[in-house]
Amino acid sequence: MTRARARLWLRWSWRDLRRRWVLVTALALVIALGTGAFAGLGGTTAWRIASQDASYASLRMHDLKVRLPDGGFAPQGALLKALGSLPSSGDVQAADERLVVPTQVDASHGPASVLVPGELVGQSVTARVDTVHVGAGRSLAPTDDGLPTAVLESKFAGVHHLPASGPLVLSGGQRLTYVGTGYSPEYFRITGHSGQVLGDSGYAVLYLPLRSAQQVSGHPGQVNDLVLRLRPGADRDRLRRELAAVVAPIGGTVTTRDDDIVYRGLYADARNDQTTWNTFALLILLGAAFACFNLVTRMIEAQRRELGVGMALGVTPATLAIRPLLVGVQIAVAGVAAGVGVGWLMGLAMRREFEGLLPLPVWLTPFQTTRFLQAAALGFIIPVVATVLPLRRALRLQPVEAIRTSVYASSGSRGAGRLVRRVRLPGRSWWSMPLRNVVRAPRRTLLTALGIAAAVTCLVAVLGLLDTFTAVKDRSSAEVERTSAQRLTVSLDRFYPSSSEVVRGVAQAPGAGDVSGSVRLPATVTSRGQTVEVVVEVLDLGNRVWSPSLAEGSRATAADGIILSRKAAHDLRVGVGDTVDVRHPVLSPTGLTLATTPFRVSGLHPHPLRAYAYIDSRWAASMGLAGTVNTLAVVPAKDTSQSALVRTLFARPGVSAVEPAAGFAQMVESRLDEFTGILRVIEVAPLLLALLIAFNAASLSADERARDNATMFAFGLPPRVVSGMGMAENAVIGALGALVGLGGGWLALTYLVAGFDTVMPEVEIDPTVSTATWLLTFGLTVVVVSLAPLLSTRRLRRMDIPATLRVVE
Amino acid sequence: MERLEHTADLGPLASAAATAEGEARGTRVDLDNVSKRYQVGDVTVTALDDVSLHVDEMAFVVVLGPSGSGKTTLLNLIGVLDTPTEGRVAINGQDLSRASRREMFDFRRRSVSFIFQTFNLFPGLTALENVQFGADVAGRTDAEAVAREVLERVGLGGRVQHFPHQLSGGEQQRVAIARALATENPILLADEPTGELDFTTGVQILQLLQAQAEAGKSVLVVSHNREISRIADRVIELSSGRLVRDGPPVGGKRRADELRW
Repeated sequence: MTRARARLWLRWSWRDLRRRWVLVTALALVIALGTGAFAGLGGTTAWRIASQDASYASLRMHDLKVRLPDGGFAPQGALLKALGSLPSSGDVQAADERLVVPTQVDASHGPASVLVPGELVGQSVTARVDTVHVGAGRSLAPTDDGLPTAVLESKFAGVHHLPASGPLVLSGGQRLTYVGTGYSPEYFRITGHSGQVLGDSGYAVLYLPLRSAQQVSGHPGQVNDLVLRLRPGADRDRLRRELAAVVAPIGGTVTTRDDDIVYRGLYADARNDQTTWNTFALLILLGAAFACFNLVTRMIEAQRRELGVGMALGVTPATLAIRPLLVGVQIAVAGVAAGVGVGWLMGLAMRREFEGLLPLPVWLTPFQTTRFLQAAALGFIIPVVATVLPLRRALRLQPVEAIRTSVYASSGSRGAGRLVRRVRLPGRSWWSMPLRNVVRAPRRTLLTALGIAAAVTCLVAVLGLLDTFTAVKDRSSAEVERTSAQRLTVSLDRFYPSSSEVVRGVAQAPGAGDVSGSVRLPATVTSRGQTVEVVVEVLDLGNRVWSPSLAEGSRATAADGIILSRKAAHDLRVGVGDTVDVRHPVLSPTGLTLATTPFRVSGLHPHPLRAYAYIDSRWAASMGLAGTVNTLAVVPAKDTSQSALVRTLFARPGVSAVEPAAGFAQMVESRLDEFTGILRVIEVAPLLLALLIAFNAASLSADERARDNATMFAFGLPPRVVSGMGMAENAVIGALGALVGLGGGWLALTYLVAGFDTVMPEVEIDPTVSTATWLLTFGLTVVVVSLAPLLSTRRLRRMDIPATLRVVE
Repeated sequence: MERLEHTADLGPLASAAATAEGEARGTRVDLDNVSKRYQVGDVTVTALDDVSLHVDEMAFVVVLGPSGSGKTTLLNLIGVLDTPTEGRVAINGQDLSRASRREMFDFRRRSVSFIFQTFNLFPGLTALENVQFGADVAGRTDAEAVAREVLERVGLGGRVQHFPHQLSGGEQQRVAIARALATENPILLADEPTGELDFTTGVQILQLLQAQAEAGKSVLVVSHNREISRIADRVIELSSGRLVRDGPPVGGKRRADELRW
C-alpha cells in the first residue's frame, strides 16, 4: 500500500471515529472496566504480601517462641540461660524474655463503658525481637522501666476512640498510664489466648516494660515467654528441637513463626482473598469481553454493505479490513488507556480499605506493572479479536450477498425463535415486537445477556458474601441469645467449688439475675484420624439460664454423650450415635492431668463455631470436676442493664473476664462492616458494566432499527411508545441476563465460600443469598437495563424521519 | 395495554383529521407557493421551489420526475413528515406548515398512510400483525378482524401467518398496501411502490392502488417511471424542484393492463 493510500484509509478511519465516538467511547469504557478491575483487584495480594513481609521484618518478628504453660513461670534469665546452653545457640541473632499474662482492662472514658479482657506483654524496652510500632503518642523509654506505664494496642484504642495517652484500670484495681498506641507483629490481628479471633474492640493488649509488667501482674522477677530471631541460614528446626528438649520438663512448648495464628492467617487470607478478587476481576472482564464481542460484531455487521460495495469495486479484503480493524484498535487503545486509570482508581480505593482494615507499620503499594501489562494485553486483544471474527465472516461473503438487504437478518425460524415467534402478547400488535426481536437474533441476545449475566454474577457473589457472613452472625445470635440476649459469660480465674464465696459473690451481685455454673476446658476430639480442637463446656443441660439447642439428636438423650457443632461433626466425619475420643483435662488433687474418654455423639448444635462442645454435668465426676465451676452464665436482673452488670461483676474477686455471650456475633458484625467497604468498591464495577452494556446494546439497536422506528413514526406512532418498545425489549434481555447471572452468582459464591474452609476452618460457613439479594439484584438489573434506552431517547426524538426512510439499506 | 389518544386537543388539525375520518371519500390537499431548502454543508439545496398544487378527493395522482427533482420531498410535505421552508401546506383547508411535532404525529395517525419502495415491513411481525399494526395505530378496536379482511382483499388471505422473509417481493408490497389500507386514512402516499418489483407484480400493485382511488381515497404515487403515469387521473411533473407540468396523462388515461415497461 502506498503512503498516499495509507493516509486515505487513516483519514477515513479518523472520520469513522468522529462519527462513532460515543459508541467507541462507551465500548472503550466497557473494556476499561474489565481491564481496570483485572488490574486494580489483581494487585492487592502482591501489595499485602509485600507489606506483611516488610512489616514483619521492620518489627523483627520472632523465628521461634518458647511459651510456658498457663500458670507456669520461670525466673528472669533462666530461659536465656537455657538457650545459651544449647549447641546451636550460636545461630541465635537476638533473644528476649517476656512476661505475657491475661488481665481485665477498664478503659472507660466519659460516658463510654469499656471493660474487656486483655493481656499484658512485658518486655525489655530495648527489645530486639517482636518490637512495638508506636503510631501515636510515644514509645516506651528505659526510664519507664518499673513504672506503671504502657503502650496500648492501637486498633483497640481506635475502635473505642481513645486518645494517644490516658489512664487505664486493670483487674484488681491496678492503675496505669498508657503513653502511646501501637502494636507488635503478633497483634497485627487481634486474637485472644484461646486463639479465637475476638475483633479489635473486645481485647486490649498492653505493652509494658518487663519490670513494670512483673510488678503490675504480681509476678516480680518472673517470665513465661522467650522470643528469638535466628541468623540468616540458621537451622531453625534443629534449634527448635534442642529448645523443646530443654523446656519440656517445665511444660514449655516451642513454636515457630509459621505456627503463629496471626502470621499464618494473614498470609493465608491474602492468598485466599486473591482468589476472591481474581474471581470478581475475571467475571467483570468476562462481562466486558461478551459485551465487546457482541457490540463490535454488530458494528461490523452494520458496515457489511459498505464492505460489499468495496468488494464489488474490486478492493482487496485486506484493504477493506483496515477501517473496521482500526475501529477495533481505537476501542482497544482507548479501553486500555482508560483501563489503566480505572485500575489505578480501583487500586487506590482498595488500598484505603485495606489500610483501614489491616493496619501495618509498612504498607507497600507499588504499581503492579506485570498485572497492568497483562490487563493491557487482554484489553487490547479482546476488541481486536472481537473485530477480526465478524470481519472475517463479512469478507467471506460474495459482494452481492453483502450488499443485499438483511443478509444477516435472522428469521427466528429455528430453536427458540420457532417456539416464540407465534407467541402473541395481548394488546396492540407492536407490543409483540420486543419479544420477537429478542428471539429473532438469538446469538446477539445471548451475547448481550451473557455480558449482563457476568456482571450480575459478580454482583450476586459480592452481595452473597455479605449475606453469607450475616447468616453466620445470625445463626450465632439465634443460638446464644435464644434464652436471653443480655446473657453474660463470666470467666473465673481458676476452678472454684460451686458453693464458694467467689461463686456466691457473683450470683448475689447487685443486678445479677439467674446464674448457672459450668466448667470450660480445652480438649481435642478425635475420630477416624481427624482431630478437632474444642472448648468443652460441662454444664447442666437442664439449667434455666442457657443450654445448647439441637440441630440433630434428641433432647431426651442429649445428656448421654457429647454435643458437637455441625462443623466439628463434618470435619470429624461423624454423626449422632457415632463415638469419638475426647482428650480432656481431669482435675485431681495434684493438679490437672490429661485423659482420653470415648464419648457417644449425642447431638449436634447449630452454632457456627466449630470449637463449641458440650457435655452434661452428670459426666463431671468422671473428670474430677463434680461441684466445680470456672465459668458462670449470668442474666441481668430486671431493670439492670448489661453494661451495668458487667461493671459490677468486673470488680468481683476471682473474676478474670466478663463478656457478652453474643460476643462472637458482635465480632462477626464488626468484621463484616470492615469487609463491606471493600465489597462496595467491587460492587460499583459490575453495576456500571451492566449499565454500559445495556446502553450500548440499546444504542446499537436504535441504529439497527432506525428504519423500523422511522416507519412507525411515519404511521404516527408516538416516540414514547417506540421508546417503550425498546425498554420492553431490554427488559426481556435484562431479565434473561439477570436469571443466568443469579445462577452464576450462586455458583461463584459457592466456589468462593469453599475457599474459606482453608482460612477459617473453625467456622461453619454456608453459601447464603438472602431473598432480598435475589429480588434486589434481579429487580435492579432489569430496571437498569430497561432504562438504558432512555439514554438514546433524545436521538430518537430528533430522528430525521424522511432521511431515515430514504435509506434503502 | 396502551391506547393511543385520538381526541387530543390539537387545534386546527383536530378538525382536519376529524373531517378526514368523517368523510370516507377522501380529502383535499393544497400546496401554495411551497419551497423546501436544505443546508448541506455550506451549500443550500433547493428541493422544491415555489410549488403550488391542489389535489381533490378520489384522485389517483402520479408525481413524475427524475432523481433529485423533489418528488419525495413533495410526498414528505404532504405526509407531514417534514415542514416547508416557505409556503403553505393545507389539508382540508387547515394549514399544517407550522404544526408542532406532536400535531404532526397525530395528523399522520389520522390522515395519511405510507407505502414504501422497500416495503418497510416489520420483520418480527407476521403479515397479519403487520397489517394489524396499521389498524392499531389508527385506533381501530377490531384491529385483527380488519387486518384479516384487508389481507383477504389484497389476495393474501392464505398468507396471514407468514413473516415478511417468507413472502415474495410482490406479496410484501401487498402486505404494505394492506397495512396502509387498514388505517382507513383518506390519503395514501406511495413512494416508488413498484421500484423493487417485476413488471407483472408491479402492474398488480398499481391496480390495487388505482382501486383505492376509485373507492374514495386520494392516492399519490411518486415514480420516475413515465409509463405508470398513463393510468393516473392526473400527472404532476417536477424538474429541479419546480412544477413543470400538471394535468391529465398525455394521450389520455389507460387501463393498467395496457401498461408496458
